[in-house]
Amino acid sequence: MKRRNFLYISGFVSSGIVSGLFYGLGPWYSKTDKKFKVLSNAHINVITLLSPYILGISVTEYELFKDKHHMNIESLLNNVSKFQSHDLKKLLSLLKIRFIKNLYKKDPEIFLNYLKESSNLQLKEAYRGLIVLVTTTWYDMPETWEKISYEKPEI
Amino acid sequence: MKNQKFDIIVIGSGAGGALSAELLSQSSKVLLIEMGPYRKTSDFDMNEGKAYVDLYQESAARFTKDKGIKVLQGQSVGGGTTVNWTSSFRTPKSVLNHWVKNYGWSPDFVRQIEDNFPSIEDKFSISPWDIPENENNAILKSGLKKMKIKANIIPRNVKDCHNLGYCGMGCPKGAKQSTLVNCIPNFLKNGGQLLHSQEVTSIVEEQKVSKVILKDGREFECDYIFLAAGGVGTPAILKRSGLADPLDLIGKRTFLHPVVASAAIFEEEVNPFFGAPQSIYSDHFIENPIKCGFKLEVPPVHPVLLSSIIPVHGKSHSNFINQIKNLNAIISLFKDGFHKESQGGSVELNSYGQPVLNYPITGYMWESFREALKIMVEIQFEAGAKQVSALHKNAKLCSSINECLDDINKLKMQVIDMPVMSAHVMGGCLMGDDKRASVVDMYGRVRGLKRAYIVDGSLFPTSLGVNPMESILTLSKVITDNFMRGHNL
Repeated sequence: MKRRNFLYISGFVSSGIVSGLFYGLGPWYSKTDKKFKVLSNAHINVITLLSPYILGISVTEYELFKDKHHMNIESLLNNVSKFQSHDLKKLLSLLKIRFIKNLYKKDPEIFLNYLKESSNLQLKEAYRGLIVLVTTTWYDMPETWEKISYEKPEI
Repeated sequence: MKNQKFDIIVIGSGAGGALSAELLSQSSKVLLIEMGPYRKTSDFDMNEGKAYVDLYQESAARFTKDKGIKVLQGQSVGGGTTVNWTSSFRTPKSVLNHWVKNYGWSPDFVRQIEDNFPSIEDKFSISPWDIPENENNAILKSGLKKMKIKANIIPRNVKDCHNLGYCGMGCPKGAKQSTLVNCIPNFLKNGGQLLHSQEVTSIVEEQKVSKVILKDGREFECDYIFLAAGGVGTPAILKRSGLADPLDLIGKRTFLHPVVASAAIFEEEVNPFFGAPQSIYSDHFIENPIKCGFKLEVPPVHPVLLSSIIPVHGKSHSNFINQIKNLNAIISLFKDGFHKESQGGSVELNSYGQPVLNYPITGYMWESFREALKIMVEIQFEAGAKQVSALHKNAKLCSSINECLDDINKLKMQVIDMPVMSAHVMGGCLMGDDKRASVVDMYGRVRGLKRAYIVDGSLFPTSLGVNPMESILTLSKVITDNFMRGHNL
């Protein structure tokens, strides 16, 4: 990561321009897919791209339960408070900044490591936010439990 | 319910509120208001994701202001008692003595509390867990034994427990003696009325009547108000009510029992999701003159909870999750509030009027966390762990104790990099005899109001160093008993 690019992103994030940029791109609720009220196709694309790298699984494995995973994320976004929703929207909007987009499209792993190693507080938040959003909604699905040998007792 | 006037309105149905409501309803017309939904035992299906969204404040994603601490708090009828892990401890004598010495709690009041522990334990079936501990707890016990450190059995509030391990998602057998199954049925039988899924925005005290105002604009009148919305909710209601607070005491000195964790992989199966979640503890490190003292326990480990606290992505993440069956976790629960560099946090209101917890972690606390991590990983290696890691973004999965200690020494302790959790919010409406230093007097009455009382954990002047449910239940009983005696109820 070149220092100039790092400063560029940090500046964007910390100046609070992120949400402004995002909202400038179009209304949050303008959807093309009727299944989703909150997630746009652009969000779904980026979640699909990053999730296997975040979860540490193959793309093929992710594809198996991809649709349900998206629905889970949508459901979570519908259930969180206004305050949290604002944070999550900020997180998703970060992923729409052109430079960030280019970075993760080129190499999701480099992008995630960049977030991980960043000392910028908001990028660190974004890293943790992405991990929690993707992994908790994934392992909430009983379909994923067999692989990790987790099972609920019969009652 | 419209236009009805009540003798007493209780706000919050957790440990403090539901017990108080049950006692008051024996002789008064009582309305109990709960912010969260009403869920029955048959609704609890051991589904983690559903439970977190449904039964926890802010869908179990509440964080402190700087995102440094994840705060798990219950939010349904029964409050925290519906979802806690059943560990039940008396308020330690040393803590009560500290409050007498430093916060003006009278010895008589403390005696009343101590006299009430047995009746609370009887009512809520609290007794040491007499069934062999699960493997997750056995590892803690075994590691401590090898280090010649005393381990104790945790008392639990259960009756005919099925030893399932899903207490945090609501007990599907109704065995946990939460206020949902213990107090609420009696309260309703006494004629009490329950209003759930309703948020209280503020309270008003007029000359002859008190009012509770809901978010939807409805108002209920009563003679007395009992606040029990917890360490975040109660100060938030008082702040939204515009109560005069010239000394800026409301919402100050909030304590969290911050928790840090280490994870270990064992050759043999641990199945940390099965069985009574917490049955072994150690207080060996609870008193520490230099660093913040801590209690050692283990958490139940289910996939959603685990994935939310592993601070890394990719193979490092899946390595833990894929081995969940062989994973043990140990937690240190820090006794905050007893040192000049551990003065807790504060409850503020954001632009939506929602409470925000501001709890900066001091250098003293970070270094205390580091010390605890070293002890936890040692316990895990002593117990036979194959690999151990501190839960920190840059921590390595280590194969020897020396490697692990070296790794922990190098870790940068800072917010977000190190997952810190809390499931116990205490303080914020300090109870004491000095009107210049306390929000509430020794009768539980809010200073500046004549007919408003508090009966929850927000009253504690410090944290406890033990899981707080039994302390809240007992304090609530004493305040409510004193109120009823004083009013000939």
